[in-house]
Amino acid sequence: MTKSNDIYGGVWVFGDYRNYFENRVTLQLIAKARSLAEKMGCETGVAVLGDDVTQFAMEYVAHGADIVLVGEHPGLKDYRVDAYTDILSEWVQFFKPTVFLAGATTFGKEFFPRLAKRLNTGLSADCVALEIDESSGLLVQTTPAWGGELLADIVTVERRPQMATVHPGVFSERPHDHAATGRIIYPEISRVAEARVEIIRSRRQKPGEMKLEDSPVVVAGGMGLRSRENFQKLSELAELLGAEVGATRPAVLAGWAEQDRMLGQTGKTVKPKLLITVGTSGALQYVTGIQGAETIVAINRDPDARIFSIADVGIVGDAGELVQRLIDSLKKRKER
Amino acid sequence: MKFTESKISAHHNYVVNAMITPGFALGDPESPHRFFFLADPVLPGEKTHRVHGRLFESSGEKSVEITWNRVGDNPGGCRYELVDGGFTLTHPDGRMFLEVSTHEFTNGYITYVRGLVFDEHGIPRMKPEGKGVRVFGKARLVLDLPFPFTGQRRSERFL
Repeated sequence: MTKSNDIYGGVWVFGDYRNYFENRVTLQLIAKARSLAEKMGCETGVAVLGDDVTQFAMEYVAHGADIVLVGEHPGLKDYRVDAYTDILSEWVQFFKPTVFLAGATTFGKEFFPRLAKRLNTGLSADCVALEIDESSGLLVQTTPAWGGELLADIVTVERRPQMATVHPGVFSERPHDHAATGRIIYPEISRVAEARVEIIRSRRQKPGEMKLEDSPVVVAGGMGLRSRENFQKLSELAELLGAEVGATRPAVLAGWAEQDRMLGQTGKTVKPKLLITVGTSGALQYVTGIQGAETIVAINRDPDARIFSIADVGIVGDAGELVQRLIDSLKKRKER
Repeated sequence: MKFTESKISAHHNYVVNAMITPGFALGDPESPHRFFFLADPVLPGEKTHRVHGRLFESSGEKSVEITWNRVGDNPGGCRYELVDGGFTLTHPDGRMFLEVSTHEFTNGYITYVRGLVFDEHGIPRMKPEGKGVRVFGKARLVLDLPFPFTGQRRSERFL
């Protein structure tokens, strides 16, 4: 379809540049937005707010954005849900994007529902797929429903924009193109709402705490480990392997792992070279988040567990015991 | 809602009129005698600005010529100094005339130009504003390809 070359309409992505070089979800969404925009015959836009965001605007163009809308103001230096909602709702009502996407990060999950409410439109949260329905031209937003038991296809028939948040890692980013050019729009910011929250100090997580999606090796555990103590052995195993630890949703709900370690439809999607999954049954909603792994090694005491159907290597045995034996073996190897 | 629009390069941009742009030109870069200032686009693979110009004092007297970031004819006796990422020009009495510096990001570059620059009529054409400059008079605020010099100017400047 021929592109309209118009700054109005279009498929927009919210430019979330915090922890930029670890958090790649905006770049992944730009790639997806571009493919959607090509089908819809419109432009790919990125809306970015902050105090000094030029380098991110350039990055977004390098990764496929046709247009970057920039709002720079000292009052936007720190993320503030009220100010961001005010400004972006004005922009959306003026430029009228057809689709608006954001990463399903803690940030996106807080901010995008407010924006959707302000715009009186729908929002599909935690989407795992997005496609254009050829007959209607509507955005089909696929998202887990009923606690992840099934996937629902949702369309926003009347309201605009069609809004969705998407898990990091669901889509792949385009390569960085130094020769790319685009357009940059600076909408006038009439006012920035006075801050109701004062940010006294911010601290970035240690790099090792946040690279689950990018780690080439992931060790993931589920309820088959049977205790928090056994689950904690995964951290030791991961350290020996240079891996990151993931968890199933039940393991997170049991308090064995932090929320940001959760894999699957309602958690993160990983594509490591090696995934060792321990004491996990192989529920569909978990498998969705790990099936992109190159090699899957599964450990489970039940020889009929569904996880073995997607595993390259299956080991039947007590998960806690086998993890301890793996740790001992790796330690001995390191001592040699 | 009011808005301003510019082009943007993924590789390198200058800051002018509170926007970024791959390149901009003031005056007529082809003219052999009159004022001009050219911030030429920096191509992928290159790491620094491309600045050319013929700059004048507020009195209208010619001060200095700049070619490829270097000082050429310098009747005003300006002092040229290389600094981290660029260069500065100062008047003989120590007043800052022009600062040009390129900053490197992880994946790109941005050049800040700051200065108080006049044309041959003593009319200000460029004043500092924020991290960049505000420009006045005849200007092309968006150059996405290197300036297309022709004829004599091209041979003088680039061969």
